[in-house]
Amino acid sequence: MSALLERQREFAGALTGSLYGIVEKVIGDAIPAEGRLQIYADRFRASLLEVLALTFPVTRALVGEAFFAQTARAFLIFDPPRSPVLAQYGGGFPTFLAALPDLSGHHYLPDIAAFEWALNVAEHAEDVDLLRPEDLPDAIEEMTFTLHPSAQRLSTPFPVSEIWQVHQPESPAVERIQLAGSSERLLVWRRGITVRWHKLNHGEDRLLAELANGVPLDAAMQAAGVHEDFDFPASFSWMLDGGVFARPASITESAA
Amino acid sequence: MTDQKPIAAPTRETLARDATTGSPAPGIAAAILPGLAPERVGIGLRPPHHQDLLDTRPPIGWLEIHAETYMGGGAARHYLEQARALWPIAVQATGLGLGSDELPDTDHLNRLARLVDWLEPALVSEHLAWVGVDGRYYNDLLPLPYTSESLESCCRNVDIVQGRLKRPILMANPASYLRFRESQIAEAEFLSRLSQQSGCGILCDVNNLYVSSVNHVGREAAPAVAEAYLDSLPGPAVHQIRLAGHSECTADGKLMLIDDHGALVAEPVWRLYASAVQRFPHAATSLEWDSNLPPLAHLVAEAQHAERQRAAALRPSELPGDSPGDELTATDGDERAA
Repeated sequence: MSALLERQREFAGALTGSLYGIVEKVIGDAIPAEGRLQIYADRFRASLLEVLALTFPVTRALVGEAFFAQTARAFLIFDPPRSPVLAQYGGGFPTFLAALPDLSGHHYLPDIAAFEWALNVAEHAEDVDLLRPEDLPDAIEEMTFTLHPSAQRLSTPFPVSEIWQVHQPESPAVERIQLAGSSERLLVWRRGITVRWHKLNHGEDRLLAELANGVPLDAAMQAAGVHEDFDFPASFSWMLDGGVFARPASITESAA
Repeated sequence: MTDQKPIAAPTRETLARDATTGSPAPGIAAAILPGLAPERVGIGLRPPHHQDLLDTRPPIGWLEIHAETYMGGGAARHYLEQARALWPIAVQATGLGLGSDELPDTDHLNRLARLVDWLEPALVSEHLAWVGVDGRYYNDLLPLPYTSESLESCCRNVDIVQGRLKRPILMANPASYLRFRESQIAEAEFLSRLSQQSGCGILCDVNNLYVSSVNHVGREAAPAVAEAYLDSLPGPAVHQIRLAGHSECTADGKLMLIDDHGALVAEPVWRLYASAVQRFPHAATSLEWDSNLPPLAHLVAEAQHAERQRAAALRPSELPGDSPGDELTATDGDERAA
């Protein structure tokens, strides 16, 4: 191992709590080596805490700043970023929250965090051309569909989009939200520069699940049709208008 | 999405001056300085300013972006696409960690290459630092020992990036809070040799330089140490100067400066800037804020102040006597130094 790599590994240890091997490699003077290393450790924690606070604002509001900071600090030591693109940091936070023993009654918290993560992913997903009505062939039964790269489905026993909504600054005051029996199936995606979500019925949820797996439309419709609430023309219409589907490369290439 | 080149709007033509004035390094200067007039100061573009910038189109010279903020799609890319039609753009990458023993991450380099191919920026810069190891990233510019071993790996990494991007990049001096006992090469010398061996240019961040100097030798000795540092940089290789603010903290009861980009440029940094401008008159200047982000108009006013400071520094008989604090309360947006 090169001396540089060894130094990097020791330094990384200092950032996450272990000063083993590094202190004697650093010049200490009026400010000892430990104090200098601590500045980096503090910066690492503070900057990632800020990243998590920006990505999970409602989660933070629900548990309060102190509990959020304590939890986020534990998470960022446990699971530091794997990419220098910070918009990609925090995907493991909902699962981390779910594993905490003391959510003090906030059982829905991991699902709120999962919803906020989906919003973040949708915000930063790559841009692609959208499938347009005129791209559709006359017989669309055998057609397969590509969902927009921002599109994500979430299923939760809690009314997470309602809880999220009442924590928005412009939201009117709501006295209470009914938790029991308020499960949601959600599609989160981005149209243009605007992140959107839609509450799916059972049939729509199934249709999108099948299409996302590459199942042709007629088979996907049959699968979705077992749900009484499924209304294909209405559902397909808002999905197509809403930019839920990407324009397949085959169409983009033949049009070029 | 469209992939066409930006239309050169009239503003771009009027803002961009002949960048070959001054005394740039022969060869690479022309390749990396198209459209950045040294007398016009650029500002760091941050997402909270996107809408205001496009609505008000303030009289700024150019924009410097964080590459990592614009690697996805959506709103960030949407606003950048409009901004690039109005101003020259420089790209500052922070995620490649070219000071690492490890090779630059291929996925991340590819993301940067796609952004640079699309944007065709005037400059691309990285930092003399590492950012991660063993697949983990620490979201900071971390220090490396300045040894011949690390110089070798840094040259190798800069070569890889320049080869992939098919253009020279600039390497910036980092702010640092510690030094390694094993370092054998002074940082300015390290950058000089890196530039010589890899063909990269140098970005002289005068705030980082001041912050590091205070943190390493104390406030009293810092200005002289920083001036000596400027003296030992190879002038023709310096193509950009960066300005920013810092904050103060105490470590074990002693003063440390923190490079948080969350304050007005400090008075000693303005003095260092004047020295840097005199030494590197062909270099473009940028000003950046990251924390405590002020309204865009404040940034624009501070950038205009920098333009006046720069012009004054190049007229030695009329050294600036104005205080930046007083002047920044003024809102005369059209006054130009050049």
